[in-house]
This record gives sequence, structure tokens and C-alpha cells, in this order.
Amino acid sequence: MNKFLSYLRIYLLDALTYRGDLLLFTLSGITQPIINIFIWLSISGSVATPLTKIEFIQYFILVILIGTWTSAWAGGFISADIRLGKISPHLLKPVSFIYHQIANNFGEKIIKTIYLLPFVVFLALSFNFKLPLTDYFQGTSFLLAITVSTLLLFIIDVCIGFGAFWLDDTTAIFEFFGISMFFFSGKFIPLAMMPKIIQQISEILPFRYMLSFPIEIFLGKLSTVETLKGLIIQVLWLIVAFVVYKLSWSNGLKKYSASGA
Amino acid sequence: MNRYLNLFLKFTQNNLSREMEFRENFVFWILVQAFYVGLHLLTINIYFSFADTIAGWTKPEVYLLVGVFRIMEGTFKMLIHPNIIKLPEFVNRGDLDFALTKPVNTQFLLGSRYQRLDEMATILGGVGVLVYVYSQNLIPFSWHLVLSILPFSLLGLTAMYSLMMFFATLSVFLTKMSSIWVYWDVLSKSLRLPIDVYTHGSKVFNGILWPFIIVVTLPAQIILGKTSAYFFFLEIVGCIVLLWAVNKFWNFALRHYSSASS
Repeated sequence: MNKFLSYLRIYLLDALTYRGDLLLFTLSGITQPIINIFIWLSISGSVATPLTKIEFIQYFILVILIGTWTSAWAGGFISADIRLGKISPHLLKPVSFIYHQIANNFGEKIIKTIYLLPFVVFLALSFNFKLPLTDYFQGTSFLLAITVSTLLLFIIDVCIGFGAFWLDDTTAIFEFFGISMFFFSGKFIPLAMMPKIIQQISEILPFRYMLSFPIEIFLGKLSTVETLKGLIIQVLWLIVAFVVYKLSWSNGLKKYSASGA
Repeated sequence: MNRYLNLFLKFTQNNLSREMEFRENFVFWILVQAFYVGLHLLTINIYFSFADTIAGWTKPEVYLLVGVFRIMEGTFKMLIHPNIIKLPEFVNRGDLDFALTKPVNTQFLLGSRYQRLDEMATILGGVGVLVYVYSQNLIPFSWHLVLSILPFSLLGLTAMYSLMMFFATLSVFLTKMSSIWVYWDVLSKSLRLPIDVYTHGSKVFNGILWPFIIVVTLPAQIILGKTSAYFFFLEIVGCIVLLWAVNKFWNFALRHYSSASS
């Protein structure tokens, strides 16, 4: 734990060093959700849609916040490190390789959240955001869902990064992953607005459980049964992802050639 | 002139041979770019499954805007963008010195050295959308409007260039700014839909956002024959003014370039 905390301190300082860059990253992250708010407000102006105007605004403000909290970016760096033999130094350290990735993720998210807060408050005020009423069950299941979402996305992202043990170039897998997220995670288009068939598929695939699911709970869109069912599927995917992670790490290391060493 | 043409062809040759070193990668990106055009159309279909018009635009009209946008975007990302994004780095590391001392026009050298040839797929995707729109008669075909696609796409392209050049020039002052790609990200995402989605035809907002409107929205309206001669005139003047202003800004910035290495 101490080791983790000192890693965290390093990455917090690191994130503070590149303040300007991180601010721009944050800005680019909120662009698409804001555009989406405008689009759906234009659409729902004249016709009845599954979500109301207020719900669209709530939805995309939550996409900004929860999207930031659950996001993961380690995979691309991991695969580059594997390709260039740069994970070798980490293998020699008495700390598990994954710790510093977790600390990096956590540290940057803290800074990003601080940057986001003024934007989110401004958006919430200017779009007249109302907090949906939450009871205890909703509240706890939301916290649980967002924790599992974060872990799930992080582990899957890392696993794709580990793909570099076997493949020269993992870009294709990341691209495929991004497109799947586009359809099934509710990041660009709320799943409620998607054709029925995509909604049904998204209930089984892991992508919804990395973003849309906690938002749906927060907005009170799910019944108790639906929430519990979702949580079970989510945890099952987490277990699968964790097993894949363990296996790919141990098998991958046997394949690892430490190029450049 | 001949010298510049020659140089440009040499650059293209060099870029193509670089792409051919990683052939699979090149083909992969061509497929991805084409796929993104399809994805763009798909999202528009989803939007229009709920409403017949969005901010005063019908589905075929937005299709046409997408086609025009993708042709511009593809051209921009193929020829101009790979060079612009390198500018801040050039300034940061003082490499601009080398470019300034070469016996050719600096803007030409900095602006044409690198190309992303896989973006050809985006341009072809855009052309495909336009062919589809007119062949299915979603928008009535008329010669003088179709012939206006090329000149007005080019005009819009200069506006797109001016906007990005403005942000790149800013980097001469803010030398730490390496995330110039973010500006392109924000620009390209917000421009790929009619600006009316944000302004709802409000004259005040349209007035403020004119540099963005003249990139794709107004050219698309002109090609659709939806605007009066007045806007036709505004588009041409707007693009020229923008280009002129950015050029002034760039020259101003160059005078303040401190050459990091020397």
C-alpha cells in the first residue's frame, strides 16, 4: 500500500507538470457530449423521444463525469512498452508492474476531475440540470456499478495492451474496441435511442457495463430486478476479464523477448 | 513554379514509399477511414429515425453536408493537417531555423512536406455519398448546383485551413502547447453537422460563429440552392478575410519567433 501511495504521489505530480496538456485533453473530452446535447435537444424539440429533454442533458453531463472516472488509457502505452522492451525495468522492481499503471490512472483522474468540476457545474447550471431523486438502493448500486465499470474497463484495456506480446501492432484491436464502444456503451448515442436489436445485444456484451449502466442506475431508468441482473452480468464480465488478464500476463511474459536489451 | 511542382511530387513520392514500407498498415487505415464515413451516415440515420427535420435540415440535405464535409476533411487531413500539427514541435525545438534558411518559400516547405495518403479513402467516401444522394434523386439534380460543389468545397477548405493555422500560430507564443491535435478534434467534431443545430438560426449566434459557418454549413446550403445571392457573396468575402487575417497573424508571430536552439 505504501508503495502504491508513493507511485500515486509521483503520478499526481506528473499530472500537475503537464497542466496545460491535461486541460486540453479535458476540453476535448467534453466536446462530443456537449455536441450530443445540442443534437438531441434539436431532435426532441418537435417529437416524443424515449428520453426527455432534461434526461438528455442529465445523461450527457453524466457521460462527461462518469466517462472520465471510468476511462482507461494504459493499454496503448503498455503495448508500446512491450514492443520496445521498455517493461523490462519494471520487471526488476519489487513492485508489481500493474501498480504503477493503476497509480497513473488514479492520479490523472483526480486532476482531471478537478478540471472538470467547473465545466460540469457551469453546464449543469446553464442547462438547468436537476439531480434525479435517489434512494439508498439506487445509491449503493450506483457506487457498486461505477466501481466495477472502472475496474472492468481498466482491465480490458490492459489486456488489449498485452496483445503486443503476440502481435506487432495492436492498433487494429484498439480501433475495433473503440467502434464497439461507439455502438454498445452509450457513449455517443444513449442506448435507449438505439434500435431494439442493439439494445438487446448490449445487455449481454461487456461494453454497456463500462459506461451506460451506472448512468442508467443514476437516472432511475432501471427497476430493482434490472439493476440486480445488470450487476451480476457486470461482475461476471469482471471475473472473465481478470482471468484473461492473469493468463495473458503470465503467458505473455514467457513470449516477451525484451527487445533492445 | 516548376521547381515547386517538382518538390511537391518528390514529397508525394517519398510519402508513398514510406507508406509502402508498412503496406498492411496502410490498407488497414484505408478501410478504417472508409468505415468512419459509413458510421457517420449511420448515426445520422439514427437521428432522423426520430424526426423528419433537425434544426431545419432534412436527411438528404445533411447527407449532402456530410459528403462535402468528408471531401474537405479528407483533403485537409491528407495534405495539410500532417504538416500543421508538426508546427508547434518545429517551434519548440527550434527546427524552424532550418526551414527558414532553405531557398524555397517557408510556408510551402512547412505546409507540404508530409502527407497522409490513406485519407484518400475519406475523400472517396465523401464523393460516394454525393453520388448516392444525386443518383437516388434524394436531392434534385441540377447542373449549376452540382458544378458549384468544387469551388465551394475549395473555399470552405481555405476557411478550415485558416482556422487551424490560427491555432497553430498561437503555439508560436505558447511554446509549451503540444496538444494542438485537440483543436482539430474539437473543430472537426463540431463542424460535421449543420451549425444550425447549435444556433437554431439565431442571427446573433450565427454572426458570432461566422468563421465556423463558412467552413461547411454555408457551402452546403449554397450547393443545395437554399440561400440567396447575399450569402453567396458573404461566403467568398468571409473566406478571403479569414485567410488574410490568419496570414497577418502568422507573419506577426514569425517576427516574435525566438529560435529555441540558437
